[in-house]
Amino acid sequence: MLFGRRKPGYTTTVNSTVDPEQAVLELQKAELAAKKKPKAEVFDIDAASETARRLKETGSTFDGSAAKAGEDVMAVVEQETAQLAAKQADAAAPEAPEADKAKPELLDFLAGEPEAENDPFADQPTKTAPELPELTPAQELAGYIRSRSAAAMLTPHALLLTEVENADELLAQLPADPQCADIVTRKGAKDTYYYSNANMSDNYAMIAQLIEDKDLCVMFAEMVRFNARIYPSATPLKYFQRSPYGLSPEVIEQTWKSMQEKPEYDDIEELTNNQNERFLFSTQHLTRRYAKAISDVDEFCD
Amino acid sequence: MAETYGWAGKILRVNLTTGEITTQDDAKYHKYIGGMGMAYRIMYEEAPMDLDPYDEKALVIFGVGPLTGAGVPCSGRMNVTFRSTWSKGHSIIDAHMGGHIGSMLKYAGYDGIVISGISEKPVYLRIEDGNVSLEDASEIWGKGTFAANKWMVEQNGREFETASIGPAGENLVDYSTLNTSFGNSGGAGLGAAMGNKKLKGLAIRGTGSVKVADPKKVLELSNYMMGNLIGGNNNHNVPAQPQSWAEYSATSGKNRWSGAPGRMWKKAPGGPVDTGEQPYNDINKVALRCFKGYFDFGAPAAEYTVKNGGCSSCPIRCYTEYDVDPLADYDLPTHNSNTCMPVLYGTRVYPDGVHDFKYEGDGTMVINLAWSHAVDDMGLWDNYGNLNRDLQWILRMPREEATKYISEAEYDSLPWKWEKAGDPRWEVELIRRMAYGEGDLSVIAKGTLAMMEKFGLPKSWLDRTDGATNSNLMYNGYPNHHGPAEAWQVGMLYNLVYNRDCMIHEIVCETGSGAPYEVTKKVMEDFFGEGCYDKAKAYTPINENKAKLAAYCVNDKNFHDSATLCNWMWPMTQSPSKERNYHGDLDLQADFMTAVTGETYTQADLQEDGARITQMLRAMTAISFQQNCGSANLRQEHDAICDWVFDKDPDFKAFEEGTTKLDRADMEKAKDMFYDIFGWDRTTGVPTRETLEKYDLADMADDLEKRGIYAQNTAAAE
Repeated sequence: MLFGRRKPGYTTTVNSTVDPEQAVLELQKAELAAKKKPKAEVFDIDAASETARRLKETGSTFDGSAAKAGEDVMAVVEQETAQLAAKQADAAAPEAPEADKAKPELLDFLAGEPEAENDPFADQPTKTAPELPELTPAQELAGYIRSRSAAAMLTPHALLLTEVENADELLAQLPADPQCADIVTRKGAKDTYYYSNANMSDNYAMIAQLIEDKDLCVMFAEMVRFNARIYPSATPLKYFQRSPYGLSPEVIEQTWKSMQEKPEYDDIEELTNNQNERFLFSTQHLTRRYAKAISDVDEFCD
Repeated sequence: MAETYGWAGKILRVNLTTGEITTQDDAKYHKYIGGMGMAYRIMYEEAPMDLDPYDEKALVIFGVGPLTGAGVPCSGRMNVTFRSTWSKGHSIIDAHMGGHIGSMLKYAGYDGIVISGISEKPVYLRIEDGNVSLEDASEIWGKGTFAANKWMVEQNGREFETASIGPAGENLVDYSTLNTSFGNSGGAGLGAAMGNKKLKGLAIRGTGSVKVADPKKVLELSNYMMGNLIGGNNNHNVPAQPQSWAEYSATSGKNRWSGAPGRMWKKAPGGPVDTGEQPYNDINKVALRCFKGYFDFGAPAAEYTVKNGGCSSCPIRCYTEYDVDPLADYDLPTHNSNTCMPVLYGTRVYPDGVHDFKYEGDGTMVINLAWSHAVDDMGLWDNYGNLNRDLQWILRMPREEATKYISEAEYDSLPWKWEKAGDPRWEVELIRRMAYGEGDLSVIAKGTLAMMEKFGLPKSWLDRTDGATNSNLMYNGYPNHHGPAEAWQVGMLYNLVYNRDCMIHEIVCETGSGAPYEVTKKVMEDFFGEGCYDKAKAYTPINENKAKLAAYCVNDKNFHDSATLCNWMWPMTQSPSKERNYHGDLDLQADFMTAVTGETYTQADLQEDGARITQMLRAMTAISFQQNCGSANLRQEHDAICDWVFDKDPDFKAFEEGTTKLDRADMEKAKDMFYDIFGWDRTTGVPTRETLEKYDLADMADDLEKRGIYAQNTAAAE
């Protein structure tokens, strides 16, 4: 019995002998079949989230850093997938070095032991993705958008136009294809953005769109109003230093300064809490008195 | 012994006076679940509240429950019951600890250990399955907990889990603990309760297992919980900063789902680890969610973090492990692990402030971790910050004022140059004095009430509105713990019940999560009824559903400390899943009980079992208050609320947006409702005969009758 452990050879990942590019494509097919992330079924291959998992297993920080650095994300993914495959191939090498042979290998020993009868914890046979029909070009495009969403990135329409010859034609087919129902759009100031709402939340897409639009005053105002309306909460200036915004304190100061000179942001005001931390809030949704009160930090114990 | 599942089936009894060690079938205690409930019944039957807490017949009862060690997530807890020496009434009290020692006790074949008597010489209790012995502890008497634990492991082997008291416990310092080597501790004076018995510690190795009635179901429930329900620490259900899969995050950037892209364990073996994104249904990322160090200290935590550790059967890993290398410059240990109060309040004893050490903003962290290691080593408890608050109160006084309370010689003997320099050796020296009971100042570690008596402070000292040095909700010697500031009247009500801080996290898990109010309100109202859940600092008057929620929290917490489950995580009220509309599953703990024990439990059953424990606690509290305070009128003597709770924030009225202050009349009405739910007399707050009989506690009703406590009810009503 190997409760909580994997037997040697037990794997839910891609066969290392398969071409990495093909492997990613297969995973996208599987994802298409499931369309959206289903409820987690542990010890079952979750086909819908496999691409996301693969992206992460390849060492991706899953924060879209590659895109931010201006790299071709899919190229990075493919490169990392190849590295993973090579690593797995090394791990599966049939001959262990001489020095290791002398070591007692617990998993090998346990694998050689007879299985207990009626063992409720016995590993279930590895499930494989079901046979799938060939993907249409539109479905392949949807898979591309999904993989970017899984890596926390929107897909700008402009990018698709440069990457795909007949992008608009394929995009027009998506709404009619029930297998692509998770592909939705968000209209930004400068472009339309595509994402899979199975792999990216709508509110995160809103944030990502505001970042893509690169109008910091608008982004600040929208998020300060959103936080005041939805949570409700004032927004620490430091909020914009964190992922996924990643702005420097200087840029934050500059943005807030220029907002104060524009009448369309008259509802955005600043307060300082009892820890000397600065916040912005919208008077459309919060009174100053209440915003200050909920920003103050009370005595805390664990 | 009948075949049982979940429960090991027997408890160990150790008489330190005679050295006699026996076992007892514990089936008759199963209706009290285990842990806290079982211990309360044993304590009532065998060591009545009339006894002095340090009497030879006084008991220290270690208890685990049917879920401990049974593979249920977040179940690695152990409860320890004994008598308080420092809180009003000297009544029944519990310490609660995590780590691996509770599960190990189960694997050794025991649901509990009942310690009686007093040993002639220092001993430790060695348990290796059925081989149990008292071993000489002279070698480690006087040593800190880290050295003592190390020694016990060296003597017995690395497979042993150990826990030790420190000098504070040996010196009968009321604020004292029992500690493992990883920062897990049971406080509330447990160190002194053991020190009085000359019991230095425990070393336990169990090679058995817990019999589970339906292991397949346990696995199924566990997978369901891990993939659909569990969040971060405190079961916070949204991440601290935006993650691409999540609709919401904590705007403040601060909650206990603190792992996030760019938040690193920079001292991880093999190179820094980015905690990254953790989609809620990716069970392999659960342990990266709780970056407790980041929650406690912000960005500097990343610089010193090695990894996250935690208790047995827990995927959350809330014990961040650090290597705080600047402490080496002061010849202080650099490796540290803790998650609770010890890492939060160290800076309070530096009235002149602290400075950065190696990285911008790391001063609080370095100072607090030096505090944490020192108190853990000395086995010193902080009474949820009262030690630090009371020290802060006196240390920030000018010399001429402070020397009204401690002698000039003692004041001048303090190494003030270290305080002014922000040197961590200052706090270590203060802690040492507390643990050894040196000087007048060390009365602070005997308890807030003892300090007030020695310094001649009136009862109204507890009514002050200075939150930094006074958070006592009642006049009983223990502070606010997730009270009205986080849970409106509900928090105040459940703080009334215990003889120490309440240790109830059922509501702060929701109010602290950072999810939108309307989202959480929907969850709470669907579970507990309309109007039960107030917006932050915008409270409404008491209503029936809030009172019921408070009672639910008390009973649920009692079940957790009996089963055992971690109250910081359970129950699964919320979920991070949008598909579930963020609703958790309150029935899951009952389902686990059924799967593990083979007996059918519902959530209502668990509430009833928890309520039985509440009633035992209340009856024993009444007896001890009659014995030690001259009156068993708990409404007056135990449940009186300090003025500051109603008088703080003078610019606000109660129920106005922007304050957490309560209203006196409303709170008295809340008590009436709460007492009615529990079946307590409205005038005295004592369980009625009818109530106790309903919970099969007629013997306690007879006892209260015999002691004249019910006659007191009648007199008070007239």
